[in-house]
Amino acid sequence: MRQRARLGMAMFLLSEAVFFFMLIAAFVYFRAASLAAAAANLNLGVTAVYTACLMASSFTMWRASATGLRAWLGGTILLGAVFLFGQGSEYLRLFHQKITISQSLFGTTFFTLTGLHGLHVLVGIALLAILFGRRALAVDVVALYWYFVDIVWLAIFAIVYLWTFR
Amino acid sequence: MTTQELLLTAWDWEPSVVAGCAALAIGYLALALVGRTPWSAADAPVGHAPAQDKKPARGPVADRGVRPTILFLSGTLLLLLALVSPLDTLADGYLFSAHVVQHILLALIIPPLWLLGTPRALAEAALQRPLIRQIERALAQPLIAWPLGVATMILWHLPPLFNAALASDSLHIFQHLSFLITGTIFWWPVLGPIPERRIAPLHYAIAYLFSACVCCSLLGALLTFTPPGAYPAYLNPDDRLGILRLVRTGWGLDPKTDQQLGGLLMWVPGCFVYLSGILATTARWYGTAEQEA
Amino acid sequence: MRTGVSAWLSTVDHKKIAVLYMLTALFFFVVGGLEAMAMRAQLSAPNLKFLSPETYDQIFTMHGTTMIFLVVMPVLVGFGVYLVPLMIGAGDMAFPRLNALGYWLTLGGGFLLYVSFLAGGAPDAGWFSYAPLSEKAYSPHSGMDYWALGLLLLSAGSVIAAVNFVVTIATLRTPGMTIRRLPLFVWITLVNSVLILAALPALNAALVMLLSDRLLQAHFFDPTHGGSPILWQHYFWIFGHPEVYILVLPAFGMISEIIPVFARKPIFGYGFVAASTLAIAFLSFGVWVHHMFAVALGRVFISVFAAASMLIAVPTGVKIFNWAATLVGGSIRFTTAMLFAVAFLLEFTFGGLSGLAFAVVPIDWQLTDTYFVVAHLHYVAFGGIAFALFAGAYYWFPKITGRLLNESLGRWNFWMVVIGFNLTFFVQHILGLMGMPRRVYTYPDLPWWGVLNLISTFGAVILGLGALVFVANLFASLAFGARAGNDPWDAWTLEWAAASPPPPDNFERVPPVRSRRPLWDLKHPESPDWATRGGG
Repeated sequence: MRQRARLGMAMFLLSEAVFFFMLIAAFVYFRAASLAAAAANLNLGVTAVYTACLMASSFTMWRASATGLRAWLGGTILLGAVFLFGQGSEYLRLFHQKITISQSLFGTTFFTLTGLHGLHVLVGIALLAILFGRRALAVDVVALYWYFVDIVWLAIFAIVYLWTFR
Repeated sequence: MTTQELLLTAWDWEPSVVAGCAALAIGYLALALVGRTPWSAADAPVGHAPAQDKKPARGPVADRGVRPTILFLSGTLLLLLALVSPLDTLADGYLFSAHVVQHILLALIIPPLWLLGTPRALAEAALQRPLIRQIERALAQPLIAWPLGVATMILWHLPPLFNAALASDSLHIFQHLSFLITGTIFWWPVLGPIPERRIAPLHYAIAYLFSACVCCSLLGALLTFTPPGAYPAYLNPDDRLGILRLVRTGWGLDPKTDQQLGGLLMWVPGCFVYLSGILATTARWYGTAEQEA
Repeated sequence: MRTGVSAWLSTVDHKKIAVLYMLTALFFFVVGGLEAMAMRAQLSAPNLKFLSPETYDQIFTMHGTTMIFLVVMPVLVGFGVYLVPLMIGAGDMAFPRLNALGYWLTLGGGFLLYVSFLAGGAPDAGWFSYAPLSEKAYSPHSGMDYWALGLLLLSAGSVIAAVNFVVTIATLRTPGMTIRRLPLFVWITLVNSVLILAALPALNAALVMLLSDRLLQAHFFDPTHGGSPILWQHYFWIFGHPEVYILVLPAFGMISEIIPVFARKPIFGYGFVAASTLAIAFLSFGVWVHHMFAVALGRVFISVFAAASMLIAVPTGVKIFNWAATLVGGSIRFTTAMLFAVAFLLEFTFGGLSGLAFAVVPIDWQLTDTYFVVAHLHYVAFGGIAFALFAGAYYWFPKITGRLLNESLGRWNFWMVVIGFNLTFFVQHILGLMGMPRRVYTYPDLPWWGVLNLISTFGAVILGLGALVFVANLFASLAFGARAGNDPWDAWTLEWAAASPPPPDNFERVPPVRSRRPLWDLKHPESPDWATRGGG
């Protein structure tokens, strides 16, 4: 039964991988036109810190999956929330500079890509919270989803942040 | 110079290449003629033909007669052509797309031909030696072979490395050897002569090849859409043969089209090679009788 | 134990969910058919004013969107959901509740699409809604938003079904049912499901980007702010081309089951049919640019894709060859199902050939966006997919309902549909060659245009009546049809071992599986498949 659920989640994540790939491709497609705005407005250092938090949450997720202890689960939720907080504050900062999804190509591609990723993190946190409430039977299935969301962020961080400032 | 003249005269019979290919071909034939390692179906190792199957063992090609010889020698001939024919001349100095064709041959066509042309008995005899066995055990597992093959492809296309290879002859030789060697290692778990050493079950083999195909296609797509100049040597080549006009105007291959073509060749035909591998593996899987009742 | 309507609304039984999918598809088939009738009425003579141009645009957009997303996708999922568990000897799908969710999302998507008519107008930019026409500036009314949202729901339903199929086939096979012994319908469903998982996200990404543009004033496809309408075309067709194979592969699966049974011969070249399915799935991602040959992408670029497009005809050709070879030397029984299956071979091949013509770039430049395309797509989609679906309906109706569809009505159904279909669409090849563009609400009185269009409309009427005969047959046979036993066709796959209709958990006892034709082995213990040719 667990094996079936894991396989099902893996198949679903396959389709999500293609989905994010397409959005990243759109970002790359418009990169030349967005580069100046990206370099001027993105903050690599701060985002790197929040990225580290998200990566740490993969570690806590792994521990939660291995031990079943609620503490690790809680840690993952917390770190995920910190990441979202960081995303949110970056968004606010950009809004203050008048950069929105409709302001420019940079805004369009950046907010769509990171926004959809953030939504996926939010859903992940919700799933983890549900697990928190009951016996953690499906932890390893949710863990797959969480690792996926973190890997996608690594790709986004590399392409949107690191590549901008190379 | 016209195209015809180019095709007839621009051959570069590099001695080491000719000698190497000759050695490979002669060595292979010698092993065949001397008969130290049998390759007919009658000598296929006992115990591998399924009990119920009344037809001759439909195992790998390597167990049947003259076909392996043709495949191995074709591979060697292609190697010779890839490195001495006008393709090499064009690849080195004039056309990125020609260089892509050459690399596809080295990494994706010649190693499979060699592997399909190696009879199982020969491979098993070689694996009797402990050193060779250790090397095979270390390198031929999918999790090593795949990164070796794919990383080699990606690394050599990074502009600093690609351009350096164009500038230095010895590095260029190293590059070609690395394609041949890592190519062979990459294809071993899929097309190697020993069935027990191949990836099973079928969907892992498909995933192995498909993921490599995706990497190749992504790299090719990237090169197709990048503005020309990733490899500056092709923008303004040193026209030693006087054929630049022929190439640019006669064939219509200006730098932008040339880079695009190179990327497209990696993207689409390159992918077809992996796809053929997938189909061959699938066809072979459907052809073998099942072990379970 | 719930009964009646509430049993159906809350069911998680794969057989009931499948019937819900099929009935929904049937309903939308009638709706889409009426839309087609309206179009043909408007086009029956030059310069008619039966439908205004705005209405016509909505009708043809909804006709295409409906037929693809609300008829073919759901009915194929329906057949899959019904048959896959039975064919592998399972009691249900791996995730029954997810199965139900998939259906309700599909219905929801259909609802959203059609409510648009009441909410200011249906989408009207064609079933592939090219930018910038689909952007707010040129389509200010909310029809396009309903289109995008409806499709997102439908797409979610498809992805859910695909996940369910993969896990079901991977984990719930009865012992002895190895992958190499799978009925081809099941193998093809497996490959098709992975194809769905890989292709639909491209559509989802494009739809999300379109909605961002329309609702949040983003600029993905907006050329006035640096966006790219061509990007929409690429993204749509990266989905769109695999989508046509997603639509046709299950039909191929059905034909692969039906032809052997009515030719009384196992399928010729099982391995080839299976491997060529994989080839089609992979290759389908490498040809999308052939929908964009007229977009000035550069000669080198489109040449490579033209070559790839010609290559993809090969695996399909392999299948046609195998089906034809199965017929040779067989003792053929022309039930209505078999009539449709054989007609499928001819019509689909013809449609494939007209498609192959488009791979030749200069031909494409001449014929793109003309009625030649309309003819081609209907030959493969109707002559191919719909004919296979008719065959599947006649073949599996007894299993689903316990009654046989009436064969006399079936003959009427068949001949009216075949004659009507070919009359309608054959002449459209000629119209296309003469230059009649597609998606026009009327046309000038050029020589022969009026006559050919009238013939086409006349054919459409016959086709429509033939379809009505089918619907009548369905309901009449449901009420009064001859009772079918477990195995009315003397077939060989596991579903025919269950009762007609099967009880809730399908099988009392699953027959042993030692070959590709377990029921043949059961009925012929003196010469079972596993002893004679290895059986797989």
